[in-house]
Formats: sequence, C-alpha cells, structure tokens
Amino acid sequence: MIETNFKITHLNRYEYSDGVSLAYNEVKLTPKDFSHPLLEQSCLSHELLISPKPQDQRQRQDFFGNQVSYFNISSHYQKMSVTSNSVVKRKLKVKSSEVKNYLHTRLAPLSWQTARQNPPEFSPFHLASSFVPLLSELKAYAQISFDKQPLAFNALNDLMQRIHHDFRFKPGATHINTPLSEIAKTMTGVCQDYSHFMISCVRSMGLACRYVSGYLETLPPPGQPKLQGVDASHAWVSVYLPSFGWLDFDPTNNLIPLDQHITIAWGRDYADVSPLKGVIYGGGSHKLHVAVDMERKKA
Amino acid sequence: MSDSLTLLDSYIPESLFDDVLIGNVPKAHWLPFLNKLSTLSSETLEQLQSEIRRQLKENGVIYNLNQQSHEQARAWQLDIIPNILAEDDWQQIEKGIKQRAKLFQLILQDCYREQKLLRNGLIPPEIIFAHRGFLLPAYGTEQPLTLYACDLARGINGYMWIVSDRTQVPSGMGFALENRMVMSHVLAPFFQGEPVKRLAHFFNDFQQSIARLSPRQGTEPNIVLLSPGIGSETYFEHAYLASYLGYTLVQGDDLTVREGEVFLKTIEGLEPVDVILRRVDDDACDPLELRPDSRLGSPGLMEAVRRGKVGMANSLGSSLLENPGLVPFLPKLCQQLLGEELQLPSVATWWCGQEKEKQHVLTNLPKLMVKRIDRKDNHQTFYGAKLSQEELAKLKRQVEAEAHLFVGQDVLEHATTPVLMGGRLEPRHALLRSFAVADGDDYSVMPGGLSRSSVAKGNVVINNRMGGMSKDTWVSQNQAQRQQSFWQASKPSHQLPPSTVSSRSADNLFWVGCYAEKAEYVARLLRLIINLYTDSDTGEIDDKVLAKLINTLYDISQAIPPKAREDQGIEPKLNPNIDAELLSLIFHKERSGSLHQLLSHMLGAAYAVKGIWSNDSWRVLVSMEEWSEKWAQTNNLQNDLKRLENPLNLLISSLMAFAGLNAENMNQGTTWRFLDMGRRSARAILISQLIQKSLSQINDVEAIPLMIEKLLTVSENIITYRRLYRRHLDAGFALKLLMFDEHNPRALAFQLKRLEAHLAYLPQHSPDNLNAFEKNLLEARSSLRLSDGQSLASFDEAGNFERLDSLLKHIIQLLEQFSNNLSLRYFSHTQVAQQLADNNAAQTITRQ
Repeated sequence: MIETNFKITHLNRYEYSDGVSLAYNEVKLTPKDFSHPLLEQSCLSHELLISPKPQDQRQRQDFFGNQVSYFNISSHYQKMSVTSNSVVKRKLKVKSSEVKNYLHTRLAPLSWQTARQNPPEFSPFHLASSFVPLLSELKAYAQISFDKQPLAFNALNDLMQRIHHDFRFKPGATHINTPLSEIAKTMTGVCQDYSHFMISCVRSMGLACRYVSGYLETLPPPGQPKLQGVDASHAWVSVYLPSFGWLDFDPTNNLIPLDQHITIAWGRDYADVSPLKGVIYGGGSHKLHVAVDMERKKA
Repeated sequence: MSDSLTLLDSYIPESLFDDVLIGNVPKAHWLPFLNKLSTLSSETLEQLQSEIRRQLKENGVIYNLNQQSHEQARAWQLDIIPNILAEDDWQQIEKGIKQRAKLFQLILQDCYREQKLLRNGLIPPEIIFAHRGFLLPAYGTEQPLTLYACDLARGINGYMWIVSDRTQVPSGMGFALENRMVMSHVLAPFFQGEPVKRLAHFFNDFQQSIARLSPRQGTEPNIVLLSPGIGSETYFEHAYLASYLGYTLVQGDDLTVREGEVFLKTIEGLEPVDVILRRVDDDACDPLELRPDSRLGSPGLMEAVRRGKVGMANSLGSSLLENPGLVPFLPKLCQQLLGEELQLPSVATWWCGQEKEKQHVLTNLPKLMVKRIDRKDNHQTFYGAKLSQEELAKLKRQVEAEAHLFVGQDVLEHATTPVLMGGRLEPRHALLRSFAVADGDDYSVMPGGLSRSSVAKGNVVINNRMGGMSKDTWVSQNQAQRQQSFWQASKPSHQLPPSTVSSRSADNLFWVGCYAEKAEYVARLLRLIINLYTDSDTGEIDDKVLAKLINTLYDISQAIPPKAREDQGIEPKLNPNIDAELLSLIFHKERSGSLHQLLSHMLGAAYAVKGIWSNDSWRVLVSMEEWSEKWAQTNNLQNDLKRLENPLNLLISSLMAFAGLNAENMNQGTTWRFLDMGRRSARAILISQLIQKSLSQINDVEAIPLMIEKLLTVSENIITYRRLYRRHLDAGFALKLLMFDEHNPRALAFQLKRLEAHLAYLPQHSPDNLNAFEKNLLEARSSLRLSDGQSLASFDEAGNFERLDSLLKHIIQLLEQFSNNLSLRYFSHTQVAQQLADNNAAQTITRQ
C-alpha cells in the first residue's frame, strides 16, 4: 500500500482587450473519488476561487458523475481568473514493482471477446461520440493487436505500445477540432489526440472505452529542483474489464497510470470533460495564462 | 343538375380506398358538405377559392421578403374541399393519439431519470444513446411532454397509420387555426348548425396547459413564444399563434438568464419570464451546455430549466422521441407501461440494430424506405424503389457500417382524397398532422388538425415543410356543440403587462417608421423628377434643377449612382440611359436604396412585429408588398416614363394611409411612440437633407426660384406656401415654412418638437439627468431656434447658402447621433456572444 497526497493548484487567467459584460461558465475541475482493485483516489479537499466574484454559482453532478460548477458573472470585467485548489489522495493497493505481475495474473483469463459483454448502461462508451467516430482504418489498426493477443489486457497493452511508438508528439500540430480522420493520417498530436485515437480503436473492437481528464506530475531532470507551474493537465483512456473495473491506459506515455496521475473527470471524449467552457459577451481578443502545480505531501 | 354533382361524377379515386366514395356513392359523413357544395355553380366555386387565397394572403403570409425561401413560401395553399372525418372514426383516432402521448410521456421521463426501460431490456440502449436528441445535460431534469403531434395517413384498408411522431417543436397548429378561420369566413353557410367540431376548446386547454408549467403558481404567468426569427420558414405561424394566444413573441437574444432565472429584455428593464413555448430546436437553446454554435438560444437556459425556475414546452431533450427506432418496441412498451394494447398502428418498422431485422431490411431494400433514427442535419429518407442499383449499394454499405442508426419501413399504400384543381376533383394522398396537449394525467386532442396533400399525382412524399396543398380538417358532429368563443372561455391575460415593450419590438417599430418616411420622400422625389424629365418644354435652368434633384435623390436614398458618373466626379449629365436608371431606382430588387428595397425593409420590420398592426393596417402593408411586382410589368414603361405617375401616386396614397392608420388606430402608448419617433427622426433628417443637398449648394442664382418651388412641392408644402405667400417665391419665406414653423407637420421644427414630447414619456426619463440622445436632440432643436432666418436665406454671388448649409449639416449629424444613441439605450443590440477560448486541452507533457 502506497499512499500519496497531492496538493494541486490549477490557475486559468483570461485577459481581454475589451470589457466583458456578461459571462456564463461551466467548470469541471474537481478531482473524482473512485476505487478499483489496483488503486483508490479520494479528493480530500477542493475549492474553486473565481475572480471577479460570480453573481450566481451552483455545483452539480453530470451524467457521468463528474462535479460541474456553473457560474454567471454579470459585472463588467477585463480579467477573469479561475483557480482550483485540491488535495487528493492516491492510494496504490499493490507495490509499484508488482503492478505488472499483478495485472497479468489478475486479468490473465479474460479474453477480449468476453470483455465486450457489458450492461446496457455502458452503451455510451461503446458507441461513436462527437470527437470519436469509429473509423474503419482504426479498426484495422487495432485488429493487428487483437489478432496477436487473445487476452484483453495484453491486446490493450500492445495497442497502447504501438500507438505510442507510431505517434509523433507535437504540441501545436493539432487543435481540439482537428478531426480524428486527419489525426489518423498524420499520427501526430498531443495527449487528447493519442487518447481519441486509442478510444476509437478500442471501441471498434467492441470494448467499452472512455476518455479521462486529469493531471500528470512532472519530474524534474535528475539533479535539478522542480519548477512551479510546469505540471500539466493531461488526458488518457480507460477500458472496462469485467470483474476488474475500469483500467486506465496512458498512450501518450505508454504506461498504466498509477501514482503520478490524478483523475478529474471522465466521459465519452473531450467534449464531456472540457475543464472550462463558457459563453461571454464582449471581450474582444484575449490572452490566456494557465499554470498547474502539483506538490507531493506526506500522507 | 348542378355543377358540383358533375364535379363528383367525374371524380375517379384510383385507389382501393377513398375518403369520400364507396364505389360511386358518397359516404354519409360527407353528405351535408356535398349537398351544400352542389348548390354552388362552378363560377361561385372559383370565386370562393380565390377568396380563400386572398384571405390567406391578407392574414399576413408575407413570405417572399426572405428571398431565399421564395419558392416554397409561395406554395402555401388551402383547398376548398376539407378533409372530413366521421365522428366515430375520429373517436378511435383520438383515443389512439391520447394513448400514444401518454406512452411517450412515460418513456421520456424514464430515459432522462431512472432508465429502467433500458436496464430491463425493453429499449435497446443504442436507440437512446446514439440518438442526437438525447441531451446529456438534460439528464435528471423533469421531462413533461406538454405537446405531442403526429402525422397520420390512411391506408388502403381504411385504417389510419402513424407515419411519424413530432415531440419537440411541433409546427402546424397555427396553420390549422388559420385554415379554419378562413374557411369559416368563406364557407360560412357550411358551418351553420355546427356540423363541425370547433377548435376553440382545444386552444383553451392549450393555454391552461402551458400556464400550468409556470414555476410561480398562483400568479399570472409571463409566457413567451421563442422563435428563431423572421428567417424561419414557419415564422408566420409563430407570430400568428403568439398574437392569438397573447404570448410575447421573442428571439433568443431577447432573453437573458440571471441567477438561474430567465428574463425578457424590455425597454423598461428586465421582466421575469415564467414559461417558454419554444419553436427553437432543443439543442439550439443554450450555447453554453448544448450546441455551442447556436445563436438562437440563450446561455444558461439549461441551468434555469434544471433549477425549475422556468417552464419549457416542450422540454429540452424531448426530441429523443422523434425516433423511428422506438417504433418496433412500442407495442411491448405499451403493454408494460400502460397495460394496454397499442391502439394506433405505426407503419411497419424494422430497427437495423438487430441482426434479423437488419437482414430483412437489406434483403428488401428496393421495396422499403430507410431513414435514420434521428432527423438532425436534415437527414433524408431513402425510398428504395426510387434508387438506382448504385445508390442501393451505397445505402446498403451505409446501413451495414452503422446499422443501429437506421430503420427500414414499409411504404404505405395511401388512400385517396379529392382535391380541387383546375376546376376538377383530383385524387391525391393526404397526411393529417394531429395535435395533443397535456391535460392533467390525460391529453386533449385538437378535433381535426392540419391536413396536407401532395400537389403532384401519386406522390407519397409530402414535403415536411408547410408547403404543398393544405386542407381544413373537419370532425363532423351530430349534436350541436355549444358555441364556445375562445376569448370568453379563457382567462383574459396570460401575457406580460400591456405597458411592456420588448426591446426588439421597439427596435423594429422605430425602423418601420424610418423606412416608411424614407420610402415616401423617395417616391415623391421620383415623381417630381419624372415629371420634370418627361416635360418636353424645358430650358437650361430646368435641366440644372433636374440634375440637382437627381443628385439629391442619390443622397437621400443612398443608392449608388452609376459608376461612370461617380468616377468623373461631375454633375450627372442627362445621359440617354436615364430612363433605365430611373426604372432601376424604383424597381430593382437588389439595388440598395431602390424604392423596392426601402419598401422591403419597411415590410420586413413590420412583419417582425406582426401582432401590432390592425387588420386594416395589415391590408395596406400587403398592398404595398405587391406594388413593385405589379407595376414593374407595365407595358412600355421604358418608352413612356409618364406611365409611372399613377403607380407612384397609388404608392404614396398607401403610405399616407398607413401613416394615418398608425395615427388613428393605434393605442398611443410606448409602442406607438417608438414608431412615431422613427418617423419623426427620419422626416427631420429627410427635410434637412432635401434642403441642404438641393438648395444650399445650388451654385446658380437664377435657378433658386425654381428649386424653391420644387422643394416646396416635394415636401408637400407648396399649397400652404401659396396660401400664405401667394406666387412670390422667396427663400426666406420658404425656409420659414420648411424649417421653423412648429405648427407645420412638414417642417423640421415640428418633428423636433414632437420628438422632444415623446422623450418625456419614455421609461427612466429624468429631466435632471439627460441621456446622450436627449442632449443630441436638445442641441439640434436649440441650434435651429437660435439661428437667424434672414441670414440663413442669404446667398452669395455664386448662389450658395453657406450658413444654411453648415447649419443643416450640423443638424443632420446631431439627428443621426440621436438615432444611434437612442437605439443603444433602448434596443436589443446585444453584443455578439463568443465561446470562451479553449485552453487546457492542448497541453500535456510526455516523458520520452
């Protein structure tokens, strides 16, 4: 059992050339509570600091169980900041060195064909979604791993490795509306492109797969102190494996997320978990500053 | 023997089942109608049919304003032959519709809350989750199915079949009402003795049902009808229903959500809204949580609904039920949820998400029709019989790739019903759109509905849009139902307080006033120019004045002169093409500043506030809509411009009639004040421009008297002038009359005085703290009053009035600022909404 507590600060600051007269926003920045045989995450504390102070703010749960904050600012402003401060406990139930063995043993009997049998509520994670069409070329891509590996875990691991190997990580090469068919051609992009790609592959094979948004702790190069604000929001995927639950895969980094990932929200694709969205009146052009900081605390 | 019996004699149904005839014998429920019809000669019939056309038009189907939708819009027609349903037949249909509405209500509630039907396997999950009408943000909200509509068609076995369900913004109810209004006027004797069930009771239930959605029970609810606006193909219906039901017609921009509650922007400030009857698709209602690219909704609306602060009909999320994928599962669901057999059959439907059903559809593709389970993005219906081999193969591939998104359906063999075309009865297929509204635990169904039939023979495709031929639908009744007037039966005011004027209405009224004035002055100026131009006995001075007036016309109409003249930068010569140019300035549809365009703008703004005009005003507006089309075709206009005098006279009379009706028929509250402010500010600017452009820079001493005469003529002051000053044409006297006379409704000073009077009545007027527009007006009025008439009337040797020129320029500028500032303060010029920039998405760090 390894427990790690993280103190996370996530700052979003918008500066506008013209005044904003009215704004409606929706924020998904509250880390989740969940647990499965391998690990457990609980959000010990969370606060959302918004400036200017909203005239109206309300918290709710969405369809997927994510925490959503709605707020409305009707006073005039030129700068807005949304800061999310959280303390999250991530508990690994198996020693890190034994995780691989554990998963192999635990998931060994499960064939990927069996993993396709899921209750009807999982349907959203089987079907195509707005950012994840089911493309025949991606099915063909996935088929290679699944033909080679009859076991679900092995096939998924293989698929993740191949995606990691075949993709070129290049910030700025894509934007959020770049269609998956385009990404499938260039095999270039950032974490959400890797993730959408893998989700489409997994769903094409008939397994339930979802998109996970969260944070990734960045380790400084050996011998150097850690800088503030360099950690990042990140995205990976999660696949449902019957008798186990949802197991995460990070194709961008080719690993099973353990104690350096923090889960904020999940959904069918990016559209369901977008951390901060809104409609504003006025504003003109804007500058945006984002900083994420994760600090380990002794549990 | 009468003509109408002959009419039926020559009618051949061409189908195994006809609505009217069994063999050659008319059915009993048709006899009362047929007997009355047989008393009419074919001439009378023809007259009645054209009377129907005229009334439909007069009631306000100004459709061709929106030129894109011209063709389909003009196609709205009403057949004199109704669709008559026997009372017992109707009772079965009505029972079936009620049952179906109740069933759908239960399914909808379950899908958005417990999802038991899904978990119990009664509905396959793909039919819900892959349907784009399933709105995840609406999950957990109440989903009252307030309105339900369906399209029914009669098969050749005589039974009614459900062809499709409409659950989110069912249109057609207003058209059905409109049809009934027109028919009961034109065929009044046919309605004597009440042989037809009335619609009033249904609309009464409708109002009560909508009012019950208000979260503030016990107080009179404020109800708005949310429309996509004048660009919508059913805008006429939105305006018609809103005014009939007494709801405020609004667009998304008129609403704003504050602290989870919905408000209407009015010139008085924000007024709370209790219920929204929407005609905007559910996913377009909120750019924050639903479609981000929508401009038709209001951000925060979903949240307001979620908090229960506003009632919405139908609920956001209800388009899930417009879902042919559900159809095969309805019989079992009906058993399970209501413990009854499903009464009204749907056209046989196979959902391709099931293997066996998919195979059936693919095997029988050429015989079936195939559609998607949702109808977003105008996905079409494929009729297998009409597809080529290649198209069939393509469709097959599409279905195989995403089988769960498709259904196959039998093509119904339709019964026939007679339609009067070209003086003969022709057999056609018909669709009946029927409407139900929630009434406690039950539903109330409109007795009848909107019947539509195909125009082409044998065509089963009846356009979804409200085009084609429509019919009034009569449910016959034996006992006289007590006459129930809608207005007596319903409570008096489900509406905002009468003083409330939405910012958008105020805006439109102001522009109606502006454009009406501008059209009038441009028409007068054109008439004058044509008179001068066609006058054969003219000299050099006349030509000079004419050229100057033409220039003035370009200035006040803002029409761009032909390029050649503009490039040379000289006074226009009377080039040989002037006839064509004048015609273009009058009739050209696309030319900015043409008389046609000014009228279009005026009518467009008038149409946007349709509920405000009296019937007489509306008739005048309709006549002006037809004016241009009617006269542009006049023979030999090109060679004989004098022929334009009469049409221009008629148009000016219509514009004057409209102005007179506005002055005499409208309640002179805030609504009227905005209309009149539009008029007065436009007239003030037009008078100033006329004098400034034509006289103050005339540059020719000898031309001054003639120009004064023309100015007095075009501004309608010549008679007054002659009465006051006889024949002596003097600039000082003329300016006194045109500019300074506060008692002359055609003088500048009069307009400014009237404007000032209006401002005192506007909401939030405070004499101690003047708004920008009040300052503009005060300055304009003071500048005029402080100026010296005699010095304004003095000109230099070249014939130019320098002081007059600079004063008028100053006043014009102030008046333009006045309009802008007034509109900034009162009208709904919302800033354009934009999506917050997406950020966190595009960054991540890898560990390579």
